[in-house]
Amino acid sequence: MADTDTPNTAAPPLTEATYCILLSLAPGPKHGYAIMKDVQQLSQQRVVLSTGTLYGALKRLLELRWIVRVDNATPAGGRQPKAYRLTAFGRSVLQAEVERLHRLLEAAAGRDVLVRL
Amino acid sequence: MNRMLAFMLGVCGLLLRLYPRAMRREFGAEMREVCTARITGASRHGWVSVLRVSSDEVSGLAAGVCRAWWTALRDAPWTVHQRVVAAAMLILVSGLVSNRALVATYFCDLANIEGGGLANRVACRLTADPSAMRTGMPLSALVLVLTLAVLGWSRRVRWIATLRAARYAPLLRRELGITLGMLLLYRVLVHVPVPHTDSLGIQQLVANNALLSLLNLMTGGALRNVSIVTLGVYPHLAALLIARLVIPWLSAWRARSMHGAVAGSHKNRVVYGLTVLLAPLPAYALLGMLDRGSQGALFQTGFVFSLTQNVVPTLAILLSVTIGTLLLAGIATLIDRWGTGNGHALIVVSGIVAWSYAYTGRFFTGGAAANSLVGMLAFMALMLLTIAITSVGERWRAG
Repeated sequence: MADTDTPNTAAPPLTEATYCILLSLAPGPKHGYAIMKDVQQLSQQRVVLSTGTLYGALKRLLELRWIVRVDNATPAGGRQPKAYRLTAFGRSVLQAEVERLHRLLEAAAGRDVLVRL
Repeated sequence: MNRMLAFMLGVCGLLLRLYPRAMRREFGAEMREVCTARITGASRHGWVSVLRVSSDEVSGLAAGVCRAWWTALRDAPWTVHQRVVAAAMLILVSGLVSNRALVATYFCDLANIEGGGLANRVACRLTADPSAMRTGMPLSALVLVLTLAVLGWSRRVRWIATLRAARYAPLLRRELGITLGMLLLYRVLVHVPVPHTDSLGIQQLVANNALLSLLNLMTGGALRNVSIVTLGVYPHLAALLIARLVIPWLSAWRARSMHGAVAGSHKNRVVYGLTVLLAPLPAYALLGMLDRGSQGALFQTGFVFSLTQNVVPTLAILLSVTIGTLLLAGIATLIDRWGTGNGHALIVVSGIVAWSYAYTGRFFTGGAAANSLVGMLAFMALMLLTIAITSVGERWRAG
């Protein structure tokens, strides 16, 4: 599937789980369990994805073409789980969300609401 | 520990089998691996951790199964045959659900499993009561219409596409649809009785007692049926009130409330937990009072409603009322979130409106025919008059 596919679908704001999944995939491809652990770490244990929730979200993101499945190199004798990778469109959605959050933070800072940055 | 681990993995495996085939093919193996890795990973921190992670996995998978099936059914290109079969299945289920005798039998069987078995007892009930399926016919007809509407909600059907293209506000239409669907579900629940009740006895009791008639009106007819939603949304409202009063005083909660969505979900859990605690108490009190007041007419002959003398059946009754209350709370929350208007208020008002129709009919027809056309027309006229007076009053206030 081409990375440049840009279907006319949902846009930010994203749910916290979707945002964390996309953020987790930003550095590079990851398989399901690694995403689950990374999301937990990224959100400081606040977002704990169960298997059902994670794969429901991954299926939706695959349909939206924000991520794609990639085959990892199979190690000798073992079955390597399928990994997921951000598409160019998924990355742009993530960037748009980060920009949106950044603008919100700036607005809050302008009103002297932020306790710490 | 190993047995518990194996059991939990078995439960998760079973739930994974419930996913639609397409999703199982695509993700099944991976999901099983991830689930196993998570639960076995938790076993290093003791059995409490295994229990916590397993319950999280089980609830996540169960919710995932529902979501996956809903998506699969919604997006599936249904053929005419499939639609007809699905509609027939829905009619059959609605007929069974709306048949109080069968539901009561089912609950009784759950409460005290006897030698006869559920299938035998249902068969006996059907043969002994030929009118059993007739009870659900009006509801079945309604469900048929709704089913055809839902199943026809496909992109491939031209007339639906035309409707979609019509100049209706799609968001409002969706909200109204959800609200009406939820209210319909509530009306179905009103007809699901708690186990061991004698429907004729309670109907006579309510008809001969003005105070109980008023209470019946307020509960939308649920009291007359001794329904699982007899308590209405009131325990959930009480729980919401308590949570609203108590939560701001908990410092730990204040810290959590910094994370909006997470705090919201924690609050919901607390409110539902409180509802589970609050519902059985008024249920026990109300049914106990009714039982004493009716001198045994409320329940089947020989049944003793007491937690000390007849523990399991009484607990089954309280459990069914609690489950009904939770279902109703869920319906109200869904209306709040996805529908239009305030869910709790709509449930209370729709119950009163649905039941007051019969009372208005009696008023205008001298009690001879509660369901007569005159009564219905009179009720509609009263409704229109009320709406007219209210809207004129609002405009006058607005200047």
